[in-house]
Amino acid sequence: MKRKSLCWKILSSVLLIISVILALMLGAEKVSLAAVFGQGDKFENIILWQLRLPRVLLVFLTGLLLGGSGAVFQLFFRNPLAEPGIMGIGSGATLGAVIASIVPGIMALTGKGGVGAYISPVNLCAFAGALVAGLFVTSLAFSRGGRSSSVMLLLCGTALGTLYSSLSSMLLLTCNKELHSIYTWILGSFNGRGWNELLFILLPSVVSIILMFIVSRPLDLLTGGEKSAAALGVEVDRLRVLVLLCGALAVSAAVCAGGTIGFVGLMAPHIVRKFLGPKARTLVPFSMIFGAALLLLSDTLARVIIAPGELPAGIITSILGVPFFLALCLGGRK
Amino acid sequence: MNKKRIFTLFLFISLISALYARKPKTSESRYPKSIVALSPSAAEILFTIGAGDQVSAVSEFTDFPVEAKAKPVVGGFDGKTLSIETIMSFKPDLVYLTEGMHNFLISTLESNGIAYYVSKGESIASVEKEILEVGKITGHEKEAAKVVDDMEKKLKKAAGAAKKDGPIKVYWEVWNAPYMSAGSTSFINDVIKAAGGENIFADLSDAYPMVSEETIIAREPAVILIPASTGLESSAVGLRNGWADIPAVKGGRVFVVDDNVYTRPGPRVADVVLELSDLLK
Repeated sequence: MKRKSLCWKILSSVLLIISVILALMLGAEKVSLAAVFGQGDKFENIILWQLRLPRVLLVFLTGLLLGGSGAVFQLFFRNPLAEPGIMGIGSGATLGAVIASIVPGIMALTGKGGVGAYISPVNLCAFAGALVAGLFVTSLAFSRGGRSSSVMLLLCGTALGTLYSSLSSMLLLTCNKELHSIYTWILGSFNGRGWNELLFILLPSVVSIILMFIVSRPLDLLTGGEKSAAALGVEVDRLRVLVLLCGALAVSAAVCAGGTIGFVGLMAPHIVRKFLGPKARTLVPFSMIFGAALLLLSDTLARVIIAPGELPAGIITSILGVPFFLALCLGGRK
Repeated sequence: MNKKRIFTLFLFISLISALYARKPKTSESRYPKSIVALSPSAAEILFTIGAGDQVSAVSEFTDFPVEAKAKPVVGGFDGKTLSIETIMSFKPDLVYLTEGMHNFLISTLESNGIAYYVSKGESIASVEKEILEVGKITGHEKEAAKVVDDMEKKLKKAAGAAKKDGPIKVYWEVWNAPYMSAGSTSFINDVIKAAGGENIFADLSDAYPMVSEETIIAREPAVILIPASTGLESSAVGLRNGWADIPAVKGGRVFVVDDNVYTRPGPRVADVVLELSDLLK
C-alpha cells in the first residue's frame, strides 16, 4: 500500500515536470534550442524569456492555488462540491473588471507612468472585486452566528455570485459596445499575461499557499465533524477564518492571473483522493500538483491548437478534465 | 382534435399573410417615410445621401452627422438591448438592419409586412454597393451615386500614394487582455489593404480572433494601430515586456486612431483610407 502510494506520488510529480517542459517547448512560434541558452535570434530570446516563461510560471502558480484551495475547501466544508469559486469570488472579480472597463478615467490610468503602467487598472479592480466579494459573503454568512454558518456560506456565496454575474451582464449590455474587454474574466485565459501579473499576485499567492499547509493538519481532525474536532483541541473558529482567508486570497490571485477558470479546484482533489486517499496532508499538496499540471497542459493546448490564433484556456480545462473526471468517478475502483 | 384543426388553420392563415407580407405595401409614395436605422453606419449613410428627413429613429452610439444625433433613439446597437415594441412605435415602413446583429427581427418584420434592408458592411466595395442600393430604395439615387464617386476618387488617390515597395505590415489591436486582432473577414482588414498596408493577421479567417502575443512579436509589424476606445495611449505599448524591439515601437509608429470612424462601414471610410495611407508612408 505504502509503495503503491509512493508510486502515484512520483508519477504525479513526473507529470507536472513533463507539463512544464511541454509548456516551455510549445507555442505559436517555433523557438530553437539555442534560445534556451540565450543564443537564439533576438525575437526567439524575447519570445522564450519575456513571454513564454513568465506565462508558464503564472499558469503553474494559478494551478497550485486552484487545486490547493479546492482541497482545503472540500475538507473544511466536508462537501465534495465545495470550491472557492462557489463563494462568488470569481464573479466578484469579473464585476470589478467590468466596472473598471466602464467607468471613464479608470482605463486612462494605463501608460501614464506610476502604477498604471505596470499593472493594468482592470487587474487591480478585479483583485479588489474578488476581495470585497470574499469579505462580504463571509460577513453575511457569519452575521447570524451559530453552527449552520458553513452551509450558510455556500448558499450566500452561490446567490451572491449569481447576482454579480447578472450585474456584470447588465452593465456590459447597457454601457459597452463590445464584450471583448472582459472576455478573459468570463472565459479564463492567460493570453498576454506575464511578469507584471506574476509579480502582482506573488505575495497573496505565497501567503495563501503557506496558509494551506498550516490548515491541512487541523483539517484532518475535522473529518468527524466540528464538535469532535473541538473536543480534540481544534479551534474551529480560528480554523474557519484561516480557511476563508486562504481561499479568498487564492481565488483573487487566480482570477487576476487568468480570469474565471472553473473546475480545476473541484476536480483536482477528487482525483488525488482516488489515488492517495483522503488524508489532508497528502491531499492538499498533491491537489496543487494536479491542478498545476492540468492547467499547464490546458494552456499549452490553448496556445497551439489554432495558432497563431488562441483559445481561452478555461474552455480547454473542461474539455480535457471532464471526461477524465467522469471516468474516474464512475469507475468501479474503491 | 379541434385544437389541431384550429392550429392548422392558424398556420395556414399566417402562411398566407406571410406570403402577402413579402411585398412591402405600396403607400401613396414609393419611398419609405419612416425609417428606423439600427446602427450608426446606417444612420450615417441615410443622412449622407440626403434621406435624413425620412429617418424617424436611430440607435444608441449614433454620433454622425449631428442631425442624426438629434433623432429619437430606439435602443442599443446590440440586438439584445433592442425593444421591438419601441421600433414598432415609430410605425416604420423600412427598418435598416445589420447582418448578424439584428437577424432576429426579420421574422417579426416580415409577418407585419414591414420592409427591411440588411447591411453587410464586410468590405469597402460592399459599403459602396450598399450606398447605391439604399439610394435607390429611398429615392436618392443621384446623391448616392455622387457620394460613391467622391469615395472612389479618394480611394484612387490613396492607392496612388501607396508605397511602391510592397505593403507595410500593420497590427491592428482590438484589445490587449487578451490580445485580439482583426482577421481577413473583418472590415478593418479591407481598410488596411486599401491604404497600402498588410494586416499581419490576414491569415486568420475569424473576424476578431484572439491572437498569440508571440506571433505579434515574431511578425514584426512596422505600424501598430490602437483604437481610441481602448483608452490606451501609444506610449503604453512600448512598456510591454518584450515589445521594445518591434519595428513599430522602435520607429515610433504606434498610432491611436478613432475606431468609431475607422471601423464604421459608412461613407467616411474613404477619408479613413486616405488618412491611413498617410500614416503608412
